[in-house]
Amino acid sequence: MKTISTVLAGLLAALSFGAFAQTDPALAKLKPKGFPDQPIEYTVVYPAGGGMDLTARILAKFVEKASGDKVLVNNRAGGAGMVGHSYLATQAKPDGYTVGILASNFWGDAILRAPGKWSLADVESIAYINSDALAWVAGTEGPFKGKTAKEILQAAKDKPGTVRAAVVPGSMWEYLLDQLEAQTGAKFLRVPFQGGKPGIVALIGGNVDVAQGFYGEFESYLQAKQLVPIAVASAERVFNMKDVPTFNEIFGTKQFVWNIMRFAVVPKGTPADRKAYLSAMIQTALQNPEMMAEFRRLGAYSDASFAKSTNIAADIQAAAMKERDFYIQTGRLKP
Amino acid sequence: MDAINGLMMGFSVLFTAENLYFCLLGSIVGTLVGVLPGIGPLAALALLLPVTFQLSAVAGLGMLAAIFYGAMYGGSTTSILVNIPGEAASVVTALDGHAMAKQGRAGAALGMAAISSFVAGTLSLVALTFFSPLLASVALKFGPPENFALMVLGLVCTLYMIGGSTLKGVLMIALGFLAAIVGMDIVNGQDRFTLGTVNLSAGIEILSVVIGLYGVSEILMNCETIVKNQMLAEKIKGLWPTFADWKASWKPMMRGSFLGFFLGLVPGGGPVTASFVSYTLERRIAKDPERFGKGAIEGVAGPEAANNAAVSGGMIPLFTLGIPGNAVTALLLGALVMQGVQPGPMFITQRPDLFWGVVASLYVGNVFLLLLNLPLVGLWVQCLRIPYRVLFPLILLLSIVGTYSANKNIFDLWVMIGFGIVGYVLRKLQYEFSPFLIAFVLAPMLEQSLRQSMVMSPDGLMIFAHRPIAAVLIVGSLILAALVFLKRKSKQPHGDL
Amino acid sequence: MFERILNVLWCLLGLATMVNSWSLGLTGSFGPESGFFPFICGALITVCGLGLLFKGSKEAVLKPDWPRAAALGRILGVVAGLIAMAATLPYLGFAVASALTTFVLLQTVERSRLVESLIITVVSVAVVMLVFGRLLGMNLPRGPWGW
Repeated sequence: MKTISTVLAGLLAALSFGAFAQTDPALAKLKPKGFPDQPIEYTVVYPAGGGMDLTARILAKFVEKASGDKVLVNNRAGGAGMVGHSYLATQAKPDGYTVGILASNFWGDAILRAPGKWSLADVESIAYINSDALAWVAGTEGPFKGKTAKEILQAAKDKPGTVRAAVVPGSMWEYLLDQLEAQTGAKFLRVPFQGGKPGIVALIGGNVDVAQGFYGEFESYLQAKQLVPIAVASAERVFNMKDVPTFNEIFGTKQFVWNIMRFAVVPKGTPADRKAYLSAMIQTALQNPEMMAEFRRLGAYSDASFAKSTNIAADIQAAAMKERDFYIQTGRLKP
Repeated sequence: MDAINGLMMGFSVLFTAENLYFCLLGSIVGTLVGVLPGIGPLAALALLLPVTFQLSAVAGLGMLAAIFYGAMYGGSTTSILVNIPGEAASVVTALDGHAMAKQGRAGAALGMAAISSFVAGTLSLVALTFFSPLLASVALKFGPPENFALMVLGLVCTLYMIGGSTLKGVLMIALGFLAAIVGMDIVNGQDRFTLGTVNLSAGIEILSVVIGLYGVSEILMNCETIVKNQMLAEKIKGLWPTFADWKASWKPMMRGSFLGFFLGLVPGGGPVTASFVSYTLERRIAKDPERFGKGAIEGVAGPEAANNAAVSGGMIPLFTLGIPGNAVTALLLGALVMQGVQPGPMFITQRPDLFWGVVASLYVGNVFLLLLNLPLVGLWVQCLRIPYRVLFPLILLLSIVGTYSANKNIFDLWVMIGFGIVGYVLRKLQYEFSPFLIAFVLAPMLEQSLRQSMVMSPDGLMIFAHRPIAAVLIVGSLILAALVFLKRKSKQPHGDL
Repeated sequence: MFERILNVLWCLLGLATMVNSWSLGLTGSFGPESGFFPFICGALITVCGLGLLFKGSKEAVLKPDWPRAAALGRILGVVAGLIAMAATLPYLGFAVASALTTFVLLQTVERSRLVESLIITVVSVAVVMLVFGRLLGMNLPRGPWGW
């Protein structure tokens, strides 16, 4: 069935595009001999259909177009990413056929939960993909309707432990709140959820007062005027939320930067030529304005400091170290 | 745009060669995937998701949704024929369905399963057509306290499923609960009972449990008594449901549809829970419940209706709120997003063509499935006459690959084998598995909801008193639980609990 | 007798669970913590295990229908086959591992004739590979020879 349906779908696609895709010549020059002779697996550590998965599938589609090689997306979900992270760090063969599509919460697992089993050094970053900034959203009904972020923080300070905030335990949801509470003296009641989306749904149902999430997760509710983003934890204002202030603007600081950064890795020890080719495949796809448009539609943006980096592995490592410093600073990690 | 006009538009959108073809394809794949033990709609959807990116939205979504429904149709096939569930949502069907097959009435069971699925699918779609916006607000009202209350109700239903020894039944419930807890605690990220291996960090895979406990143990049981050319059913007593069957089944079908629809609609429900609750309900209100487990067709009609209706129910929060109730609807959400659509409160008004096109595709898909499954009944029944020694390697291999398909992890196979051996031993000692399975399914949501509610609540357990829906459900559960224990005590006057 | 052992095992399992849950923490600032529900489960298991132990004959299956020699052999054979399959799958790849296991099972457990075993093996493995590998597009494990 898959062969039949793929063939039919391919025919339809070809008919509608009018031509078969041209592979990129510059990329073809970098192709090692005899590689790849089987599909390359893009490992996604989250369930199919989620934001990470969709990013990987869009990327795979355009990488296939640019290189002419077959790319299969495989989900290895579980343990909030831990299962897939462990697989990439310890079990995946470094033969160039496995590429991990990760998000920056990989660092949390690597630094806090993996010591003794594996570490950051067990994978090598090969490309940056995109980023998604964490935003605060408040409902358009209820006691906090129309309030700004500062006002909500004030309320949480005046009545500590009564303002309910949705969090995903052990992740940047909590780190942002930690920083804000340290900055303002506020104290939130943290209601745990499994992801950003359930928290946002709880917000609309009136079960929490403020939620945190990515644009793609709450866009449909924003359009239905059921919530509004009130602040964003990014360095600069984000393209799809131009009139939403950043936390740093509100407080005049630089520390409130929490975003999901998506990047690609290969297991340590992958041969250099294959690694270079895999990296180039993604870089070439990133030049395609169609793909960037699809990413933007999902709500993600391209962080220039990473997109224009000349040594992406070093820059990603530096970002990981910054997070490590945060963990030490907040007592989560003993130096 | 009102519902009738919308539906008209939907059908006009649907009737293109591409859309209809992929709807049919999805139905076939879904049935196949349902019939195969182990592999379920989730795996099939994940595999075929990339194909939908090149299709029109209606074709792509129509295909995926048809797979989901199809799996509910097909899942009962192996349950009835060989007592090995094709799908977690078809576990209950095996209880009476297989008993019927052994009496030579597999045809009636299979036929009634298909018809119940069709009736439930269509009725629930009608509800979706006319009441989506209204029902959406119901789904939204279910916050953590309500979810907890619903899970408690489900757990009480589990008590009803205990046929034999109460102690053994409660033991199974506790074990099921514990098995579900194995893994990472989502509230604080702590590993629980994972025995140090990262493979258990994700928890025990439900497919391993279902196939191992039900499938492998069944194969072991059969191997024991195999006689050279034994077939699964010696005599085939007619292919179609009799008039008496119809008379007995139509009310369970209706009840199952209604129940399943609501259990699919609310978070934490879903086809598996719906099938169990329906079975429990039918057994509870039957005039002669001893028939259940021995070939009562109500035990097939009700659950089969419920699991199909739950699929439609799950579509409502997906389309009207953008909330996926389970992993399968999460995939459907992903497919929609890839098509450039953000399902949510504005979806129906912004893209009526897409929404109604998909709804039309669901109606047509159900018809395709009925037309597909009914003639197949004859074929399946013939399979029963194949000597077991020829069937058994195929079933074994299919079970192994089916379980492997979940996470592509060999560890799941070991878990399957472990549960198979344990299952075999427990069957000999007359333990029942249904309480284990339903506890396994309900536990995660139950625990999570309770802990979330406790965090949210300014006054501890009293939060349940302040929330009317939750309060009603909990009181209902307590009453039902009391009734269960009274009934059991009265049934065994010798004081033997 | 076997059932007695099982009941003791339940008690041990229940107690071990309770101890483990205790160390996970039973209640925190907001009510139940990680160990709360497992503790209850452990307690229930222990209680039920004890109940089954002491209710003795009333609860036990009077004569569990344990398999006799030949049947036991068949069962152990199937279990061994499954274990062999799971153990060799990563190394031999799906095709070979399943073919070997199926063939051996058919010859020993089912006592089929040689030719018949071969045919059933080949057909079964082929069907499964076709359905899952081709039709559904799944990547079945490959052996060192690429398939």
